[in-house]
Amino acid sequence: MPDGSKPNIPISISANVIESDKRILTKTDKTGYLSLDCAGPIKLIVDPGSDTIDVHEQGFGTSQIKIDIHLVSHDQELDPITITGTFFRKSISSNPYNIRVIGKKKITSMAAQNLSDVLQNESNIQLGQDAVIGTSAIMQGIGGNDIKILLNGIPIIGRIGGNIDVSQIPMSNVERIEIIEGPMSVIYGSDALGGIINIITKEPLGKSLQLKVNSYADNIENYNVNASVQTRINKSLPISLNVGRQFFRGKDFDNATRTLDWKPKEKIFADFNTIYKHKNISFRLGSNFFTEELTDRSNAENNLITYFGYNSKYYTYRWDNQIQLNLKFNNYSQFQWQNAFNIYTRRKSTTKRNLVTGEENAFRPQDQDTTNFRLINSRGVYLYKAPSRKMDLNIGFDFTHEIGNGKRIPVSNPGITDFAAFATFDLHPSSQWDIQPSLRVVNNSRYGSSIIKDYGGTAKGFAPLIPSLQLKYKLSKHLVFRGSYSKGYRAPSIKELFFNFVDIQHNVHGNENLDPETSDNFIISADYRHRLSAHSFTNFNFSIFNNNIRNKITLGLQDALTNYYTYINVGRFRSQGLNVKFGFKSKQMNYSFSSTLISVVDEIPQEDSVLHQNYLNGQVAFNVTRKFIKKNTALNVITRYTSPTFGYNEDLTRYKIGGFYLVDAIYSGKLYKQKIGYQFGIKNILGITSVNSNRSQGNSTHAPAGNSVLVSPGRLFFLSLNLNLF
Amino acid sequence: MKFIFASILFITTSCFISCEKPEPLYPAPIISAGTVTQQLEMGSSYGTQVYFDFETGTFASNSPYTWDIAFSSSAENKIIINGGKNGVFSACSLGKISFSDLVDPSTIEKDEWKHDNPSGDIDSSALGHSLNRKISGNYWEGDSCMYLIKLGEEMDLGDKTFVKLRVINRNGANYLIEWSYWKDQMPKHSFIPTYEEKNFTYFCFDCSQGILNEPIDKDEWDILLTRYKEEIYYAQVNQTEGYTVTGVLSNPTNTKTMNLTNVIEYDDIDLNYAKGIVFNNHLNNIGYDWKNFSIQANKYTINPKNAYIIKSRRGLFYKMKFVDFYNDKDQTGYPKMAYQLLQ
Repeated sequence: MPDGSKPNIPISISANVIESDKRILTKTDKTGYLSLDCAGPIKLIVDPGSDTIDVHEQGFGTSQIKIDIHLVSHDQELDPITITGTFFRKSISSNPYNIRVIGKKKITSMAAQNLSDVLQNESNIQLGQDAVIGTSAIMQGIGGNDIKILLNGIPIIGRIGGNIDVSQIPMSNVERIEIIEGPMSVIYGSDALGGIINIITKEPLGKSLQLKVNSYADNIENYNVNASVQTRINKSLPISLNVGRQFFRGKDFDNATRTLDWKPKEKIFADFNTIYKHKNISFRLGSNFFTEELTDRSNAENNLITYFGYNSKYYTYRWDNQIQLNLKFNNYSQFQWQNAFNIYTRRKSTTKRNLVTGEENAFRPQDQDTTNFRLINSRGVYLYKAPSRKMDLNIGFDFTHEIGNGKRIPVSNPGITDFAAFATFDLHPSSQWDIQPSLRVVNNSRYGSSIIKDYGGTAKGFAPLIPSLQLKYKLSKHLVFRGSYSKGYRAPSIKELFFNFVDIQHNVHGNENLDPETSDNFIISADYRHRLSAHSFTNFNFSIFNNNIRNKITLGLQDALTNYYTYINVGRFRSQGLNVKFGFKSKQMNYSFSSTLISVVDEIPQEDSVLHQNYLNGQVAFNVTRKFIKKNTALNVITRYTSPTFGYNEDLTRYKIGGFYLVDAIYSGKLYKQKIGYQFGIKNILGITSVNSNRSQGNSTHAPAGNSVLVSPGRLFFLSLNLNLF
Repeated sequence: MKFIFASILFITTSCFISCEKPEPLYPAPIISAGTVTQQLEMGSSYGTQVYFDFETGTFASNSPYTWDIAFSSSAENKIIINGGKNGVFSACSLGKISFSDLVDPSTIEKDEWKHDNPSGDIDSSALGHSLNRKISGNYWEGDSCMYLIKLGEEMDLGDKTFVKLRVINRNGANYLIEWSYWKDQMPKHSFIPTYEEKNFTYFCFDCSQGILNEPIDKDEWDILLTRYKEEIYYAQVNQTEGYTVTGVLSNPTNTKTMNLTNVIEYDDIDLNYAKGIVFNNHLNNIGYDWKNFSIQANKYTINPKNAYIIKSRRGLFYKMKFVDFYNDKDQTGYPKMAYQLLQ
């Protein structure tokens, strides 16, 4: 172990005897000693990224062989294992991508309840807040439809305004979050133009019954509870079930109005997972259900007969199902097949309420709306590792069919079918070099000939080839340099193509003639990791990036007199920036510092010229943790600063959203033989609720410009309890 | 240990039983004595305009879309166009050309198309002082300018999209105009009589109704709920353009109005306050923005601060506010007012 101790749990060993192709399954005893009974040469190779150890040859000739195997466990703390972007498990230092990992410990230390709580503390991710649409993520200055959020590698669907609401993703069953910035279109297809956030949930461990209950409450009336059960039907069939509820009563800063600034929400979720492993085959079945009810109240109106108001309830239902198959042919090759069927529904129900009598009735039919999205995804990858270890080859296919309909998206639209083939070559010419060229070929039902005859689509030519090149140079045991070029690609969404919203105030139409967005991305990074002692390590990461997006799709006003809006490809979008991260951990202290600076340039063609819109944004985050070893407690202080954000209103005037600080202090500990974990503290100590802004808001020509932007519901005093009942 | 388990029980219980609190009921609205409410019907498609009289509480209505230009009976010789008919209705000056001269509307710049200022100011109206030469006591001659009037969208009207118009003269109460569709070279002549008891006489180029009058005399109404063009600043394109709105114009004959929204609370307005107001001649003081479209509610909502003073033709003061824009079936186009005679 990194601290010099020996493992105190049995380790399973799978030993192949080459000549007879015999496989021996055994495990070490409690002292870590292993006895093998076999004849013939064997060789033991420890692969830090895999679950099994392949034994090949060693020169012993006796029938009974006693081997001392000292396994140096992979330093998961300094160099976590990742799976995003690669299909074999790889540590960060081995991964050709500049990947970031937010582990379970860090998520817990923030007392994070959902994904937005976690991302808020990441310096190179900005969050956008909307009281009804939710929280959106922006990476490298790119957000909306260009950020892909995955759950165990499967895309999460159901975008409102082009964004996935990251506050809808609970953290109770999350093992870790892996983030890669920059286009990942080669492996993950469309929508991954700006980057990937992959949420990895916990796998059932196969142990005897485990029951955990977690609860959280704070002074602004967030009440969260979840329970997780892990058990096994038999030795090879562990299962886990996680259910939970999150409730927020809402928050208002102006009691004179009926409208609440932060809307009441109730979320209920349930996750089921099981894994079946037998010899060379493993299945994973996962089903994740989520529902949210959000209530939006209008202001009270007085018609001299009564007071009345309107209540709009937004119901979100999300049901994601996936089956993963992993078939290991031999020590060098395997096949991974991932299938998913995702359902997303968002229903709006508006009632008119008599505020004097309390009577409430459904409002006009045009104010009721249901939007549905369905996604079918199948991705298969053949993985091959050359025995020489000089090359890894991944060849795969990716099939996606997405349909959507709603009041404003005609049922008759054919949806979008995307079939792609991709290949990744990971070349290791030396122990220091990694060269990974990749290529994806896309056949899209709208941007290429249809592969399924029943579906139409305008053939406009093939979608562009999507190449990428990753370079990794390991200068030393501690220092790795990376460089990459990636092409990004995003096909227009169903909404951008087929939307139709016409009423007295709106005249918004989709555009079936849109071209896809394409981008070029360059990233150079340096990553330094050094374990100083058993209890201390340091890490440093520096990266610079450049994004160049063409044909960016945006909603544009085409005719002011008729208020006609449609989606258009406009100009070019460029973002450049740098990230710096530094961390130091000792037995008692953790320090981490990160900073991001981004420059964005929008180039919008005008009649005779090109309009350049430039702005800078930046963030700094600083985190200090003091551990009190004897008491088994810790104090975590998180500070982050978001600089003023700039952009441009529709009238081309520059707007500014003020900068702000957020500071959290969280004290955590464990009691009663670690069966009870507790956290209490203060989030947003400074009590920031909003910042000044002169960004114009609303899409009505009569709407006045807003003068503030919501940041947080305010200062939170919270208490969280975690019980390990079994 | 007991304390810990009690805390655990409390937290867990509160998490399960937490729910949205029922909204407290409001007390019934208080209506001050003397308040009169009146709901007027424009219809969901605003197919009706309504003339309303505060003194008698009566109203009359007709369609706002059955005329193109209107001629004033007053000595101001004002000629107005029907900007409320559609979003593109407007006029531009072609200068002193003849009907035989070719006209290509596609060459006319966007900012040359004018509409009437809703304040009623003749100097900023589309046709301006087209009768600017007084020859004798009640005879005026036109400015010889040819005006091109855009009646609607070309895809809807074809060759009848544009009309060339020249105002020849006004002789007493009668106007004489000559006009043709833009591709025609031979003009038609039309006499439009005006009547002293009416503000305007209305004329339609291609209507079977011919010449129309207001449904009631000018001495019988104070405000008109109608469709008209308002100057709106479009942030998206950094331009001010005419935008068709649904709102209130006051009677140009003797009725005065004042907008007190965000100036004083409606309940605080009394006769002394009203008598201290210095009124202007703007017709659109009440205007359209007493309602706003709420994206959140997907409907029009009434500005709770809206408040207006009306000084009727006979010098009586009324305070008025709008309280609704929907009827009890939640159909739009049914503005409801509350008003009170100040005494």
